[in-house]
Parts: sequence; structure tokens; C-alpha cells
Amino acid sequence: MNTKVEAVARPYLPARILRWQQEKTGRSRAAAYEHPLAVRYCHWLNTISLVILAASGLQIFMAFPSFGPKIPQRDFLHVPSFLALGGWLGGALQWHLTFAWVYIATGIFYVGYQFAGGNYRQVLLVRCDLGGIWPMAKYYFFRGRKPNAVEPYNPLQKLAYTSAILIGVLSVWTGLAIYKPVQLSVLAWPLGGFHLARVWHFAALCLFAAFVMGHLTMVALHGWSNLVSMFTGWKRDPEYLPEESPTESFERNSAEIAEGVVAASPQENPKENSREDLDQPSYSGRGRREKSTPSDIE
Amino acid sequence: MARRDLLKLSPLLLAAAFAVPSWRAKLFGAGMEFNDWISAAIFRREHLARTYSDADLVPLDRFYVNTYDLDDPGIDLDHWTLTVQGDVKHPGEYTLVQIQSLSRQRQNTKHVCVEGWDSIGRFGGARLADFLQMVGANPRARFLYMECADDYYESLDMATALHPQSLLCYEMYDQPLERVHGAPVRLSLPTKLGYKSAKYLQLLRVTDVMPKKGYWEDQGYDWYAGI
Repeated sequence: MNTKVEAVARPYLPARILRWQQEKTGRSRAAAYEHPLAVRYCHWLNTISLVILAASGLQIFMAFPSFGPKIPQRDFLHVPSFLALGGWLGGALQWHLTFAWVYIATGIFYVGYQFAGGNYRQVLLVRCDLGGIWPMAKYYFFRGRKPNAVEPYNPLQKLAYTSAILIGVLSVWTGLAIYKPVQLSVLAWPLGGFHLARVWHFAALCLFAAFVMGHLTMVALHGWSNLVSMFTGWKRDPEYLPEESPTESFERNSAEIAEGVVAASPQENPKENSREDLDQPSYSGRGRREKSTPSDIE
Repeated sequence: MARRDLLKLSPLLLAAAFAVPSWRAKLFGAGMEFNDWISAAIFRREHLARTYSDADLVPLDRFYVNTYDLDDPGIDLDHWTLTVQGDVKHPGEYTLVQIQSLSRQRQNTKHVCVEGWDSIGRFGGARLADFLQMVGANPRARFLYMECADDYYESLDMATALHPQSLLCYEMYDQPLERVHGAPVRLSLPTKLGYKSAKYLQLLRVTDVMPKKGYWEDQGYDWYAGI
């Protein structure tokens, strides 16, 4: 119980939250802008890079599928060819070494963006989250009540996403150690040398595979609005927003939100002018307050 | 379409561009050039590849021989010469004795294969830099181009050629080079991937223009191949 109170103490909520009342049913609805454009962009670009790097990495591994000596060679595993990309070692290296830089650039931009804007607080696992991990894990294994949602991400999610970033760092670090064992020999040293750097690089792949399987399972379990939010940025009726009567009531139906009409600026949409005073969504949350623009909620 | 929409779609456009074979070739060309640029930028002339103790050596009979099509192109070792041409003061034919007259280096270094394996071997020979000085090569030329007796060919940037550990190798494990390892003379380049260390050398040209990049490079391997 205590841990929950601590977690409630400093929730980090999205900067933009819309509330409205549904016309037909009178239900109060809400939407939160959880994923800024930069984060969504990095997410999908990284999805492409990661799939390509994993598949071409497996093709590269097939050239010497062992972590031991060349003679005698003992193959560690057989990679089914439908998982591999590139056709042969040279082709796979072109995929891998090209997209490695896309992947690294995406990672640097993402981390820089998250820290510069403060949005990292939505994702980063911190000490006061630690107590909440176990109750959430127990809930997923049908061994407990669902803990109250107070933020976009629960402690278990924060653990998963923070781990994913760390696995990303591990994959780049070990990758560079294999790529330049002479010029960047300092990188392989803490890993235990070139051979173990290869093992760690493979381990990063396995960890990513585990993360992605968990991630996709959760997306499947948590439904459509969760997936949509990574395209539009907006999460509909998020659990962590307690139902409140809107401070300024304005009527919207759900279709309009989806079409991006809600906060269209009066200049672009003259017929909205008459209702301008009603069109101001109510904001809450601690983040920077800014007016939503049409493209943000399209 | 708004510029913002284009930005949003750019990951998809990128993926689509890679699906078109002719665009893919161009994008990979750019990608590999970027890799070569990075690799050349982090290459340090004075930085030595790690050398190992004799206890770390792979026994010679377990030093893997990566055959490309021949184990032995049948060089007449008694009459072998290395043809030197291009941007040099003294072009011509050089004998093994002339190469062996240069100070002999012996080093236990790691031979790293692009496939991911590596072997620590003992390589002996003349510094490529010393040989280039002997033939009066222009150190400001950009490349070395090599042809081999087995139709293999390679090229190398001048900075790596002048690296103190780059050898014109005629010995392995203190014995004259065996035929399977590229007798009588091969390259040993501890700062490059293994496919750069061409065997059965016959021709060496100092040049600013590479006629071809290399046997494997022309099929898609990275040209610079620095490690």
C-alpha cells in the first residue's frame, strides 16, 4: 500500500489532456497525448531497423555459427534461412552496416529528445517505481488485484522500456566492439575480449527477441487504442485519468476527435469561430501546456 | 501532402526504397561509403594491434586456410618475382632475396575473418612501409593495388600500407611460407579483415586510381575493411 502512495505522489502525466462529454450518451471522455511525434517517429523507424538488423545479423552469424575456435568448428545453432536477410554474408553485411547507423542515429536522437524535453519521466524506471513492479507482475499472472493506474506507464512497463533502452546500448556497444576490435579495443576489454563481445552481441539479440515478444503480447492484450496511440500520439480514455466532470464542458463525439477537428484553430476553420469559447479543451497535468494543433491529433 | 506528413511517412518511404533493387544498390553504396569514411577516420597510424605471447598461438596445422578457389596456383618459387609498377621511382621485378634483405619483423597477431572467427598466428616478413621506401613509392599516392597468382586481387589505402605492423609476409611460425598460406609472399595486415591479406602476390602497383577494388569487394564486401 505504501509503495502505491509513493507512486501516486509524483505522477508524470502527459502535457496535453483533452476531456469532453459524449453527445449521445453523456459519458465523460478523455484523451491524453502520450507519445510526441519524435517518440512515435523513433519508435517506428527503430522497428524497421531492428527487424533488419536482427535478420541480417542472423545471416552474418550463419557464416560462422559458433562462439568457439575455427578449427575444430562446433556450430552453436542452425539458423533457418527464412529468418535471415541478405542472401549471403556480403549482402547481409550491407544491410547490417547500413542500418546500424540508422539505428544508432535514432537511438541518440531519441535519448537526447527524451532528456531535453523531460519526457523521459514517462518511461524511465526510478527508485519509487521499484515497489510497484511485483504487484503488477503478480496481476499479470492472475495472482493479485490490478494496481491502480496513476501514470501512462505502470512500473512493470517502465522496467520493460528502460530495459529495452539498455539492451539497445548493449547492442551498439558490443556491435562496435566486434566491428573495430583493433581501433576500439577498449570497448571489448570490459566485455572480456573479442570472442565474448560476439557472445554479448548475440545475447542482446536474444534479449530484444524476449522484449519484443512480451511487448507484442501486451499490445495484443491491451487493445486497439493502445496501438493507435503509437500512430496518433493520443490515447483514448486512459485508465490513469480518473473520471471528472470537465471544468469547461464542451460537446464532442468520438468521431470528431479521430478526424482531428477538436482543436482545429479558428483561423483554419472559420465556422468554428462562433464556438471558440467552447472549443478550448481543458488541460491538466504537470507538463508544458501547449495548445494542440490539428496535426497532433489526426 | 504537408511536409509534416512526409516526415511521418519517411520510415515507410525508406523501407520502400530498399525494396526497389536499383535504389537498394545505391543506398547500400552510400551506406558502405559511410562505413569506409568512419573506418578511415578512426584509423590511428600509431595505434598497434595487440600482439600475443607464443602460448596464445594457434598451432600452424590448425590455422584455418580460407580457400577461394585454389590451394596452390603452382608458382615456380625459384623464379618468382614481385612486379612493382605505378607511382614509384624504381619500378621493376623484385626477388624474394631483395625483400628479405629488409629488416625482418616477427609478430604474433590476430587474423580476424569477416565471417567472425579469428586465429592468433605468428607472421614474419618485411614491413610493407620499408619495401615501399625501397622501391621509392610516392607516399602521397592514395592506394596500393595488388594482383595474385590465383587471380585474386586486392587494394589498400596508403595509410594502412604504411602502418608499422603491415607486413610483406614470407614466414609463418618462423618457417618459410607454405604454399597453402600463399607462398612465397603474402600480406599480413593486423588492422584489416582477413580478406585484405592477399596471398600469392605477383604484382604491386602504387596508384591514385584503382582499376578494381578487390575480389570480394567487387561482390559486395566492404572495401576499407578496417578493424
